[in-house]
Amino acid sequence: MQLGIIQDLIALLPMENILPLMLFAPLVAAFIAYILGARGARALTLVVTFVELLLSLVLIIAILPNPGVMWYEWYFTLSTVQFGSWSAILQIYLGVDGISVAMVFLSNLVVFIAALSSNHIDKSKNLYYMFFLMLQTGLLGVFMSLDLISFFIFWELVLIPMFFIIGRWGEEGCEHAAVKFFIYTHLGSAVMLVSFMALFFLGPGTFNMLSIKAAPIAINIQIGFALAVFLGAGVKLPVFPLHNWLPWAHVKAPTPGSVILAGILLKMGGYGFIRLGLWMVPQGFARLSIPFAILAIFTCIYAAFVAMGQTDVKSMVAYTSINHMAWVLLGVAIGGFAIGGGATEGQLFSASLAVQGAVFMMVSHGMISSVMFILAGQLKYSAGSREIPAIRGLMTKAPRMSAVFILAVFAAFGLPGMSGFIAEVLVLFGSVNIYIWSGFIAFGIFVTVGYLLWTLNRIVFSDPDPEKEVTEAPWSDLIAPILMMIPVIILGLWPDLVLNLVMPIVNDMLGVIP
Amino acid sequence: MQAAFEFPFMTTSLLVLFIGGLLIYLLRGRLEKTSGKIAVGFSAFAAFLMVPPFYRVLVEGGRAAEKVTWSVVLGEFGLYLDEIAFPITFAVVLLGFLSVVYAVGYTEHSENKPTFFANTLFFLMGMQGVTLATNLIEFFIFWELMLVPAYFLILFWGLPETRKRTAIKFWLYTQAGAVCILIGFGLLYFFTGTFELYSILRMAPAIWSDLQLLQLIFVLLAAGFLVKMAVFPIHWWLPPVHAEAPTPISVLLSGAMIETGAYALVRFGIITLGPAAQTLSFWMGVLGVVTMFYGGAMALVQKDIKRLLAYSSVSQMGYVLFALGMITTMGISGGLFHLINHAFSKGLLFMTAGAVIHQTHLRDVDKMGGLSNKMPITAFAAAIGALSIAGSPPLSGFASEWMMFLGGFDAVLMGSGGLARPEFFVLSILAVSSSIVSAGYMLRYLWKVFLGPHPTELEDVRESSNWMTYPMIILGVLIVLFGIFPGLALDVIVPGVEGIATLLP
Repeated sequence: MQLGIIQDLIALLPMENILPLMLFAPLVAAFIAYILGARGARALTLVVTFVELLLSLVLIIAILPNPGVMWYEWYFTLSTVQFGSWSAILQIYLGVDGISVAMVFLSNLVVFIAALSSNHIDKSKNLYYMFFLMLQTGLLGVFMSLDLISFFIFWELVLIPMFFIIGRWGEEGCEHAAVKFFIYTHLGSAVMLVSFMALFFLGPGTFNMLSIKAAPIAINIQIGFALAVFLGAGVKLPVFPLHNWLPWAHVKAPTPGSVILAGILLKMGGYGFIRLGLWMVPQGFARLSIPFAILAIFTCIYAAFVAMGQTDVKSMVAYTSINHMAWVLLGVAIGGFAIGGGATEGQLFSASLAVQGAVFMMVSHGMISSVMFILAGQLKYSAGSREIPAIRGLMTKAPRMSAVFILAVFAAFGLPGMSGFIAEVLVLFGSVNIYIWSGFIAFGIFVTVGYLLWTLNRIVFSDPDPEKEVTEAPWSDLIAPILMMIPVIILGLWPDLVLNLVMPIVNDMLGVIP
Repeated sequence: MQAAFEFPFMTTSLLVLFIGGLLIYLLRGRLEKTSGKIAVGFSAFAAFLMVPPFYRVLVEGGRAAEKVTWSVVLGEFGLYLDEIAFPITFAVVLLGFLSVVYAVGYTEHSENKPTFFANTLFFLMGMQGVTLATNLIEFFIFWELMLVPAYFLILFWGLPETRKRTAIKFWLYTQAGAVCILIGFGLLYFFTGTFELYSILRMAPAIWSDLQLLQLIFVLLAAGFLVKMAVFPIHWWLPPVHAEAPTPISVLLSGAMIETGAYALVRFGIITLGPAAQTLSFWMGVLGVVTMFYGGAMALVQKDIKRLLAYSSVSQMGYVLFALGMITTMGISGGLFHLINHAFSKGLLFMTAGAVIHQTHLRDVDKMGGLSNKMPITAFAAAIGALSIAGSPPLSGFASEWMMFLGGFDAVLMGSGGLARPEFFVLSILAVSSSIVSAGYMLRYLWKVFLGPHPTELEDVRESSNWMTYPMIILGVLIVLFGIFPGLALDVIVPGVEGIATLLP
């Protein structure tokens, strides 16, 4: 009955389908924001992102009865290309299942929080908010697309506004970081585009993901495609040899830019692995399970050690992101094992846990790293520097901010009761049962706890330096991180909120009979 | 079980501690003076709520259980008090309450009292949750939640010079263990497909076939639990942490928290992974004996009054590990009983040490002496505690140490009769002889601090306040009581231990 109301409500919305409405509203608002000028742009952005957040909540409730199938499919044909006997339909094709909705909700949440924390942006505001809203359209499009062409369009649409946000509103040296960001991600995307084309011609002759999933594709083509996805999504995630852009981009970007980068852009990589790899070419992905798992474990521990050596808080948080996103890759790799066949019932069940854990990790890390980045940015205003040795005695000088910072750090290293713990446990429990050596990733947890507590000791609990001015952060700057900590704790105590969305589709993907 | 509604006493008890801590923390601005007494009220109420479950186990011979399905993936979370959990839970609840009372006196001159008491209540909640948890994840959550308040308590109220170092050392050691536990739980989960402990137990015989894997899980879990118990090669965190924490917290750390490791070893290691525990029995015994001697020898030469007691805790946990490692009914019963006795005796000793530090502002035992004239109640309490740890009758420490050694000799005679396993004979003889060391360092503590002539600087020392002496008196009475009537606890523990399937008689 309750659901009926939700469905009626969705039917009442303009455009008759909730997905294109959610997708294009920010795009339209982007141009209005540019015309409105500096003051109106911020208000409009806050309103639009908040409405989007509410809409995604409505969407969750609407699909909750059966998150295992595609909902609200909608398509719009861009053009039909004929060459010889082939005909290719280029279209925007949208649809959501449980995993996509979880990501859509996460992106709307992170974008809203990032909009709140944009209060220190003070040059060319209307242009900034235009790019900001365009970014939201791109992000939502990636998570909603069911067609390789529309997927790629939105995937690239994210890149351009982000490039400008980093390059124009970032800190000193941001131009270099922006170019680096663009080159790395664009090269990855280019490889992915080639592979889309190759799949079209060598495989089923369609860009529709659902048809590709259903079609029988030769195993070698699947493996090749999975490798290309690894390059495209692996840069975004990022995985060890492809990660070099990330610390630069995160550190030099303005705070809301870092928040969106860490909160959502990295999740595009994880989502790409799941949607394009595990979901679409399962057999090919299954063959790569072991190398991916090894790479994930190495990335996790490597990034933890590099993070320990950082002196800039923001860059430490950036490496922490690499460290945590490796868990996603591990979970996905474990899922690949289960698809490969020959898994016992218990192993299938474990693999399902690991993939659910991977999705949960994306959601959880999206929220936690946003808080960490906002606070790291705040240090610049409160303590005048982000260098760890230069900040002392935060606890005595700025108790409010310290309290939030301590909570965020605890959440980041996966204290039980917070969402990060559930994610790590699900992935770890799922993976040790399949590859017993993957237990080594737990060493990464240990190192992470070590350097984060050490950082707390150095900047929060140290004795204040009388010569350095440290001021308390105003409530207007703290409201965004505090709001974001609420879902972190709720999900830590009640993981089923996300897992109920994700479990059916994961079980379906791995062939687990619940 | 009938479906009649039963009031969830244990859940409420945990909630009272949690809400109490939260309220005190949130209202810290207004409670600067009164927070201690309010915390005493909350912890008394929480302890009182545990009376019906204790009554059920002690008198009615039943078990108390409360459960709720929390998450489809993680399974049922519950609280469960049976004969195995009884001794440690009893120790935690009672010692917890008394240490909060003691803290009121101890913190007269401290700053930020409300935060201190809020953290103490959270700490109590964590420990109580660990001993009652029925789900692997739930257990782990409480296991870590126990760590956080203790970390803050050491960080903010520890010895000013080294507190940061000590706090992070504490966390990292425990975390290293926790990571091992997590992997072990993951493997255990794979073989049973559930996080619920009683379902795991039901399926246990089916998973016992693969001994090597079982041993791997056992070693992983034991690594985590032994870090908490501070057994020899991984004990480094304990002496600084216990010595430098504020005394009411040292009481809880040494008296209750490290013992949760021993309890978990019984619950997860010996009961759930029986065959693995049997094959590793000798090595547990060896670790136990080495720890006994090492801790004892270190305690003999310490100058810092609390560090002396901390090393004594290391040594005592060696006794417990030795007893549990024997895998005999007598040994495990003795080990579990010793958890109560060690909690009370060591809690009492730390309280006396805290009282001495609080009144004299000294920590070096060489500068003390003759305080028995100045602080008669403290001195008498210290004598009871020290003799109980040294194992002299009729104090409770004697009863449990005797049972633990007997457990060792039971293991010797196993199987064919006669000296079936001479290596255990050697171990048990060594274990018994280490009680000489225990007596040595405890008498040294008494002698250095309370007996002999007192230095002139200590002329004006007076007995500490009633808030501090009453808990000591209560603990002293309990130690004597359990020494004369060990049956009070053993009548519950022994039948419970006999119920463990894989145990030697």
